[in-house]
Amino acid sequence: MKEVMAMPVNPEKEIRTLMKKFEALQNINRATWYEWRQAAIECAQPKYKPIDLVLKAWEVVGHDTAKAYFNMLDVSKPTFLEDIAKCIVMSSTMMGETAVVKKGENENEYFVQWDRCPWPEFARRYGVPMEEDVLGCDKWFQTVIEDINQLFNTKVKLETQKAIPRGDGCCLRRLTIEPTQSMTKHKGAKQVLGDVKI
Amino acid sequence: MSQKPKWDYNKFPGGKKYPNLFKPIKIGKLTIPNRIKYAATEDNLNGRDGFVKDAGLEYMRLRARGVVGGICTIQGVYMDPEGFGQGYVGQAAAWDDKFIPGLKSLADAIHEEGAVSNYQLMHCGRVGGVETPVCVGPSAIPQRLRVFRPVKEMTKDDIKTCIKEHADAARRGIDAGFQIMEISGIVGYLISNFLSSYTNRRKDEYGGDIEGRCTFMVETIHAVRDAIGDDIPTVIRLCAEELLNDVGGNTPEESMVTYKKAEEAGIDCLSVTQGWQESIVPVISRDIPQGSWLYNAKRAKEAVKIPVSMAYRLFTPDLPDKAIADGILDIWEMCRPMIADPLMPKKVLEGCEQEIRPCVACNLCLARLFRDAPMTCYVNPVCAHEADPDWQIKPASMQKNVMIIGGGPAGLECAYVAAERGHDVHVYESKKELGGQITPASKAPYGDEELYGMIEYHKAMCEKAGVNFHLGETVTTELIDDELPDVVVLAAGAEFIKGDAKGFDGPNVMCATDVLQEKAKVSDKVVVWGGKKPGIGVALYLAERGKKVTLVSRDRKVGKDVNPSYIWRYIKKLNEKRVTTYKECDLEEITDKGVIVRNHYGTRIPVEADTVIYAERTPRQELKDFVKEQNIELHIIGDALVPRALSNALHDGYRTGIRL
Repeated sequence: MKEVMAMPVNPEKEIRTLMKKFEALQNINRATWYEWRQAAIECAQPKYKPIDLVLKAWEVVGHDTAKAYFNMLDVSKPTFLEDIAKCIVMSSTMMGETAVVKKGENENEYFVQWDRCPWPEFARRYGVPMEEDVLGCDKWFQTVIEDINQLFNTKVKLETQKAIPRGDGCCLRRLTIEPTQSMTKHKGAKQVLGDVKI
Repeated sequence: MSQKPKWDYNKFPGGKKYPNLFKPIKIGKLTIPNRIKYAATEDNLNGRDGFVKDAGLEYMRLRARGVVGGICTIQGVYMDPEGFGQGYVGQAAAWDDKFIPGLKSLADAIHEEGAVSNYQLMHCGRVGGVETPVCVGPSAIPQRLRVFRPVKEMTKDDIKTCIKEHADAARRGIDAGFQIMEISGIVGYLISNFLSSYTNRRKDEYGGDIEGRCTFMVETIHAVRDAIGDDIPTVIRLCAEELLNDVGGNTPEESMVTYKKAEEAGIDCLSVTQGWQESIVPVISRDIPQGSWLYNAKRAKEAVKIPVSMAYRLFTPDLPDKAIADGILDIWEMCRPMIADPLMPKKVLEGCEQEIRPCVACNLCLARLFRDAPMTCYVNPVCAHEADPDWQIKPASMQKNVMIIGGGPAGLECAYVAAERGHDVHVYESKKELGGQITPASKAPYGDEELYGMIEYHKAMCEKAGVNFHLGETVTTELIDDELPDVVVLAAGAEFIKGDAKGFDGPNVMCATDVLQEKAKVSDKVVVWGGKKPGIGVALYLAERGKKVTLVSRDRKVGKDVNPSYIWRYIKKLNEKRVTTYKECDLEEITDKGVIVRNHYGTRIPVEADTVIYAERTPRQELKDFVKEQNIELHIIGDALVPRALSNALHDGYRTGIRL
C-alpha cells in the first residue's frame, strides 16, 4: 500500500470525484423516472390512472432486472435464495440505497433490510403519493421473483413487511422458498466436463 | 436397400489407415457405405421465403462430394406457414408442396455426388419465430438470452397441428427424393423443449415426469413414420446432457430415458449431442479438448441398440476411428470441420490429411447466423460462395512473378492460391520459420495451439503448389530492385508498439510475443496493455501461471476483434482467473512500482505491478512507398493493412490470391 501511495496519484481525490459523478448520475436517474412518469400521466389521462401506469412501468423494469439476475443464479446451488437476496441488495446499493441481507430462521428464509433510500425524497419533490412508491417497489420485486420462479421452476415468495415511505424507519422484505424438485435434482450430478472419463 | 458405393475404399490410403470409418453400416433397412455423416448445418443461404437458392445448393453439393458415399444432411427445414418453427432467416421451409422442387434439387445434388441424402425436420421452438413477435414452446418460460423472443405456451390444438405439420413436411421430403428422415431435438429446439424439465412445466399428458415429457417426441416420431412408411430409415438428434443444471434441466439419466423412448418409438439411429444454446458451459469451442464428449456416445451405446452417431469436437479421423473400434460410436458426424473444408473426409480417404483446412472452433459461423447474416467461415473464405465463379481458384490469364513479403497466414494463403493459379510465387520471411504472429499466438492457453494447424496446412498447400520460400531473408529496397517482381504483396504483419505514457522505455516493460515465447522473464504482478486478442492471450497465459494480471483496454470492450460467439469464453476465463480488466482506459504513467490507469473521464487509478506488457499493434508498411514509386503492382493484406484477426488475414490472402 505504501508503494502505491508513492505513485503520483491521489487516490482519495480520484475516488471522491468519481463518487460525486456517480451520485449525480443516480439522482439524474431518479429525476428522469419521475419526469417520465409525469409525461406519461399527462398523455394517458384520463384513460389510465397514475398508479396503473407506474405499476406497469415497474413491471417492465422488473422483467429486465430478472434477466440480469438469471445469469447470477444457479438453482442447483444451496445458496440459491441467499443469492437472490444478494442480487436485490446489489441492485439497490447501485441506486444509492443502503441494504443488507439477513439470514432468517433457516436456509429457506432470508430478509433484505434497507436503512436508507433516497427514492421517497424524490417522490416528495415531485408530489408523488408515498404509497405509490411502496407499491411500485413491490411490483418491481414481485415481477423479478415471478420471472425467477418461471425460469428456475422454483417457489420463491417475497413479502414486504416494512417500508420507509410508510414511516416504518426501514424497508424489510422477507424471502422464502419452498423446496422443489428443480433444486435437488442436480445435486451430485456429474455433468461438468471432465468428471466422467472414458 | 443398399447404397451402392462409388468408391472402393480399400484402394485408398485412408481406407487402410482408418478401416473403421470406411466400412458399411445399416440404418434401418438402408446400408450406408461408410461411417461418415455431414451433420445438418443452418447456413442462412436460402431466401427469406424459405425457398432453396443456388448458394445453398452449391454449398450442399460440395459437402456431399466430401462425404465420399456417406450421409449428407441438409439444413433442418421448418414446417409451419406462420414461421414459429423458423429459427434462422435463411432457413429452408417445407410447409407446402411448393417447396418440393427446391428440396428435390438438394436431394438430386447429393445423389449426383454419390452420397446418401438425409432430410431434417427442425422446429426451432424456444429459439424460433425469428420473423414473428413470439416463439412457441410447451410452457412460457422466460428467455435468459435476449436474442430470442418471448415464448407463447402451445395449446393442445397447437401441438396436434404441429405434429401433423411434421408429418406433412416429412412426406414432402420423401417426395423430393431424400433417403433418410431425421428429426432434430437438440440445443433448445421444440422437441428438446418438450423433453426438458427446464422448459416443460405442463401438467397435461405432454408434461409431468420424463415419460410424460417424451409424449410429444413419441407422437411426432409415430406421425412421421406413418407419413413416410417403413422403408425410410429415421434418425433423431437428442441431447445426452443438456448442461442446464443451473436452471433445473434434465439429468443425464433422464436424457437416457429419452433415448430409450425414441428407440421404442421406432427410431433407427441416434445422433448424440450435448448442451443447449442457453448452457453456460462451453461445449464446442476449442477450449474443449477433442474427443471430450465421447463418453456420452458410450452412454448412448449402453442405453440403446440402434446405431449411434456423434459430432462435437471430433475434428480428426483418428478419434472416431478408434471410438468405432472400441464400440462406443458407430458413425462420425461433423459440420464445422466440413464448413472449414468441405472435402475433409475425401482428403482423409485419399491420404491427404495435411491438405485439410482445419476448423479452429471459433464459432464465427454461429455468430453470423444469430445476426441474420449468411454463414461464413473464419478459415474458409470460399464458404457460402461456392456458387459464385468469381470466388474460385482459376488459372491466371498471364503468369506473374509475385513477391510476397511475410510468411504469416495472410502471406501464405495468398501464396498458395496465386501459385495454384500458375504464378511464380516467392515468399520472403525475415525469420527462419513460417507462421508470423500465429506462432506466439498458439502458445496461449485453452486450445489456442489449434491455431497453428493453419500454418501446417499452408505449408503443405504451398509446397504442393510450388511456392518458393526465402526464409531468414529480409526484403530491402535493393532486393526489390534486384528481383523486379511484377507484383508485391505486402503481408509483413503488424508490430507490437509501446504507448505514449511516461515509463514505457523502462526495463520492466516487455513485448507480448516475447512473453508467450518465453524470451522475457515476468514478475508476479503484471499489467497487460492492449485488450484485443493478443492482450487476452498473454493475460490468460500469465494468469494460468499464477500471476496477478491486470488487463488495460483502450477499447470499450475487451476482445473487440474476437467474434461474438467466442468472446464470452475468454471473458469467463478472465473472470475465473481473477484478471482485473479496465475498459476505455489507457496508461498514464509507468513506474517501477506499477502503473497509473486513466479512464475516459479522467479518473486515475494506481495499480501495483512489477512488469508491464504491451500488446497493441500497428501495421508494418515500411516498403509501401518504395514499391509504389517503382510502379509495381502492390497489394497490402492482413495485419500489414490493419491489425485484425486471423480470419481477416486468411480472407485478405485468398481474395488477393484469386485476383492477381
